[in-house]
Amino acid sequence: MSVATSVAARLPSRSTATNRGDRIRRKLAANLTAYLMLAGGLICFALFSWYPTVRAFILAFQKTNFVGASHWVGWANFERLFADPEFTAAWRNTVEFTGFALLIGFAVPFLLAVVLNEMRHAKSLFRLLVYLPVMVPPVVTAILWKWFYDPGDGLFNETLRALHLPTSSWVYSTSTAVLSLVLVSTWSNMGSTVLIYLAALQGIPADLYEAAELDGANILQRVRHVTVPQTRYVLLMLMLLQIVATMQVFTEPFIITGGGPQDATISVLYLIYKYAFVYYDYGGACALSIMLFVFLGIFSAFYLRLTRTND
Amino acid sequence: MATPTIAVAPLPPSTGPAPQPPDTRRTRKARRRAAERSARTLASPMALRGRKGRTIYWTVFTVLLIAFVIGFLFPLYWMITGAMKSTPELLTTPPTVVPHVWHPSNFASAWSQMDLAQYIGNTAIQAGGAWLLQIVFLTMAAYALSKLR
Repeated sequence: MSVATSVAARLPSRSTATNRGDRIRRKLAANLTAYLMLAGGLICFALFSWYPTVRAFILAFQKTNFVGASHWVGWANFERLFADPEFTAAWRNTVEFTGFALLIGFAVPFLLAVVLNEMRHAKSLFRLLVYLPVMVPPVVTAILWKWFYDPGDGLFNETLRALHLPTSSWVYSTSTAVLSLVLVSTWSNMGSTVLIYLAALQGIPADLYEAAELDGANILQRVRHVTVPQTRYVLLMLMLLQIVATMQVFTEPFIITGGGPQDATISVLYLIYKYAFVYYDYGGACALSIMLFVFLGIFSAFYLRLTRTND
Repeated sequence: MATPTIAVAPLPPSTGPAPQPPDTRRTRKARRRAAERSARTLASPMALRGRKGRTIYWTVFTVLLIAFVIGFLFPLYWMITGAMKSTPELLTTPPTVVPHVWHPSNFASAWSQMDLAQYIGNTAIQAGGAWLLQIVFLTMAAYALSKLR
């Protein structure tokens, strides 16, 4: 209400007093409606997003079981986390997962989009095919791949055996488990990224390619000096979004491996889940949550700053 | 290295929307070809028209199509046909690509054994409720924000 008045008061007065009073009143009424319309969304956000965030920060320093009284414990929740061997394993696996996801899950969709953009036939068919996995619910994808990865009856090992190639134990060995999960996550998320890259690639002006070609640039040089610089912002933004998303990997380890073998695939988010709903240690879960939150926040800030000053 | 600036010949002045010729198959094809020429990409249309270019193009096209079908369609085919195999057939080695005996009744038994109607109902209520709230509140909030600016 006061904001509305001040906005109205700052307007240049170009007409008579009665007219101005009229206008102020009208402005107020209009903005009042605007604030009322905004209120619904704000209440939803406050209730479902901001309040839980603040509550997590408080719970991280408390001991509670949501039944009896909760009391303050200082940094005890954090100290307990640091002493937990699963904590180190979870962070190491998550960083490893993110690294592989960048190597595979970031490069492959871009290259695929560049090649797809060259296709002059069956464009919509290609798009439909690459987008099919996105339409499968993540849990279904995870169960399907768990079946593929089965060392005995799984499709992958059956195929390898039929071709007389060495089989792999996929998610059942500590050395290949994380990489196998990255394959699942790449397969299921690639579609949307490819479509975004395709849209970005179509925005590149044809003259640039023509000019580069007249200068004698071959195809790889054209990719390097035209395609990549022209899609730079989309690439950088999607890389940030992908890092933030893969740091929060949960479905694949939860469904396929259950964190095993020997904690080789336990992720930070999965450990949060374990603390909250297996150990019923809500304080520890909240402490780990805000650690991930702060880490991703600082990382995103640094990333945006770095990529901005590079211009 | 910065690419040197090149004087590009000015484009012929556009004559505005030309009178549309009757929509026969021939003109449609010609128009599509013209659109393809204007939207050039990495590979130049000239290179694609040559014999070598066409060979490379169709090779890449075929490889990509096969890879996409195997990579993206086949897992789903496997899931759907797997759902229609009997349990012994599901466990045979080597696995059967096409089910010997189709058991669509698996879907019916899953439906009745797992109380799927209830779950689908829950999902519909949850998704529909979220959808409705978002449509109402977020549209209103977006409109208000644009007005307050």
